[in-house]
Parts: sequence; C-alpha cells; structure tokens
Amino acid sequence: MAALRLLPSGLRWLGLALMLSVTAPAYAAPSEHEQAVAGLLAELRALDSDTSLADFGALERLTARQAITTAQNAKRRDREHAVHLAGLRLQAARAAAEAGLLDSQSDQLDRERDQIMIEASRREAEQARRESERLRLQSLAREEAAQRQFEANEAAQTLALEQAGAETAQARKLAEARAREAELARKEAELMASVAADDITDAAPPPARKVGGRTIYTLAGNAFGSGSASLTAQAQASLRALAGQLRGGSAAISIEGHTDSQGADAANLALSKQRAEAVRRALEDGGLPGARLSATGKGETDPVSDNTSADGRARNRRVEITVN
Amino acid sequence: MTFSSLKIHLALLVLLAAPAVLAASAPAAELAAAEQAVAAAGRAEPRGEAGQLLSRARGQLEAARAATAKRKHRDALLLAESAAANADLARARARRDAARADVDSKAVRNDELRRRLLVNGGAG
Repeated sequence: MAALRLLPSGLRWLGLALMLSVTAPAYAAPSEHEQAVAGLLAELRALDSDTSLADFGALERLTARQAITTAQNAKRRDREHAVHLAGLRLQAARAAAEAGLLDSQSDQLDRERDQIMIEASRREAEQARRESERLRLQSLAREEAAQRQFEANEAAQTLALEQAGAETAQARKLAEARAREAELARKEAELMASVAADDITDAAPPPARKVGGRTIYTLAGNAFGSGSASLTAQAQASLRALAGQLRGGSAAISIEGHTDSQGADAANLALSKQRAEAVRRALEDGGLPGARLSATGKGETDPVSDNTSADGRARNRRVEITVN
Repeated sequence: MTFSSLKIHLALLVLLAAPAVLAASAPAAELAAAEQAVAAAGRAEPRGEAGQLLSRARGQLEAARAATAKRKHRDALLLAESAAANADLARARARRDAARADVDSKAVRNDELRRRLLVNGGAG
C-alpha cells in the first residue's frame, strides 16, 4: 500500500484496482466453477475406482486429468470453456476404458470359440474312435462266427465221413454176411440135392448131340429152381451120371450157362454164370478134375429158340456141357 | 507530468497490453491438433451419437478456421480446442461402439457354435 503513495494521484485508483484484481480470487468463496471442477474430479475418481475398467484408457485418463487441472487453474473468462473441455475429455476417457474392456471381452470370446472348436474336435475324434472300435468288434465277431461255422462244418463233415465209413463198413459186413448166408444156403441146397440125388440110382446123363467132333450135353432149364442157381436133385443125379461117363477121359470140358430174354440183361448174365458154376461144381463133385472144367455165362445172347413163346423160352433156358 | 512519472505510465501500459498482444497470435498448433483429431475420428467411422459428435467437431473446426481468417484468434483458439475434444470423444465412442458390436456378434457366434457342435452332438 506504501507503493501506491509513490504513484501520481491520478493513477492511485488504477493501481489499487489492479492489486485487487490480482488478489481477489484468493479471498473468493467456493464458486460454481470450483463446484464444477470438484464434480469432474469426483467423476475421474469414480472411473479410476472401477476395477473392471482400471486397466484401460490410460492415455485418455491422463489427458482428462490434465484438462481438469487446466480447468482448475483457468482464468475466470476461460473457466467455463476449460470445464467443458475437461468434461469432454473425461467422457472420452470413460469411452476409451469401456472400449478396452470390450476388446478384452472380444479376445476372451475368441478364446472361448477356440475352446469350443477344440472340444468339438475332441468329441468328434472320440466318436470316430468309438465307431472304429465298434466296427472292429463287429468284424471280430463275424470272423469268430465264420470260424465257428467253419469248425462246425468240418466237424459235421468229419462226422458224416465217419458215419459214411461206418455205414459202408456195415453195409460191406452185411453184404458179406448175406453172401455167406447165401453160400451156406446154396451149399445146404446142393447138399440136400446131393443127398436126394444119392437116392436116385437110375439117373441118366443129360441128352447129348454131336456137333463136329464135339459132344454137347444139354441140361434143360428145369434143372434149376425158378430164378435159382441151385440144381434139383434130379439134375444132380443126372450130372453125377455124366461125370461117371467122362471120368476116364482127358478132354477139356467147357460149361456154358444160357437164359431166355425175360428180365434184365445183367441179371440174366449173372444167373447164367451162377448156373454154369453150379454145374461145374456138380461135375467136380462127381469126380472130374477141376483142371478139365471151365464155366462161363452167356446170358440171353445165344438163344436156340424163339423167346416169344413159353416153349421157346424154356428151350433157351439151359446149360450146355461141351466135351471137346 | 515529470519524466519519471511518464516512464511509470508507459511501463504500466506495456504490462496491461502484453496479454492482449499474446492473445492476438493465431492458434496454429491448436488448429493443427484439431485437424488431426477430426481426421482420426473420421477414420474410426463413427455412427449415431458418435457421428453427431464428429459433425459438431467438424463444424467447430471450420468455425475456428473462419475466426482465424478474421483474426479473431481467441475465438479460433476456443473453437479449435472444442473441435479437438469433440473429435477425440467421437473417436473413443466409435471405437467403443465397434467393440461392443464385435462382442455381441462373437457371443452370438459362440452360442451358435456351442449349440451346433456340442449340444446337438457334432458338426453337420
């Protein structure tokens, strides 16, 4: 105030006004401006205390803080403008922080997407593995079934072969038994015929004819039972008589059996052979050496008469004994 | 008036006139900063409220340039500062809006993937 006394009297009031203008804010009560700045600071503190946004918008927060400080210190005429700018900067800081948080959430969603894809891939691989295992087991079961079937077939085949073999052996034994039975029956019949023939003392040899230098004796078909190769007692006696006649010679004797055309060719051939053999045995039994005797069957191939009549067929059924 | 009192008067005049002289220079740095901020906000392609903020910033920038041309440097300074602040806010909100849309889209995408691949039991 002492300095004012140095000024010219015209300038004292001007100096006093200048001093008051410089010192007046220090004595002012809390103003609307100070309240506005306090509001901005409170808003900035709220932003900073938001833990979800704390890591984002650092640069914008700094800018807002500087703007608030500028507003705090602004000259009177600039205050309103500075407060407005600080408000804008504060909003920008909040928007930037929120954008940062959203970017973070976006990254988190990308990671979540990756996890979903990994999980889906894992499940797909697991499903493929299960399907593969199912198919493998299915294939294994089929192979086992096929193997079992194969083994069963083999067993059945073996059993069938064994059964067939057994049946064949059984059939062979049966055939042998029947053959033995037939042979025994034949021998029995021949024996009985022979015994019966022994009682016939006046039997004559079969009728003979001369053909060239040979003598052919013909034993008629009734010398045998019907369809049989067993000689009747009369035929046995007749052949024994023939053997007695031929016993002193040495000529070869051939015996041929013949049938009529009734029945199958093969059956007739077999029957003619059996009858020729029966005659051969009878002659041998009568004392002729077996070396002189040969027996064959001609079946129905060499008839001596017509087979269309019963008489003709009877003549065709015969055994011819040729003495050479 | 003595010579010494004249010097005091002159000194006081210079002291009082200095702020006015300083304020009279064009706010070139602030204008440049506002232009950069507006350009950056434009690249963020703001929509809606953010787009309106950018429009306001562009208008303020034009007004600042006009004020400069008329040598109303204080008006130009205030307008340039407002333009920069509005442009920065527009850019921040545009980025936030884009990030929110991105998050919403990805959330829907993940729900769809989860339903298709996990809930329904496999890719189709």
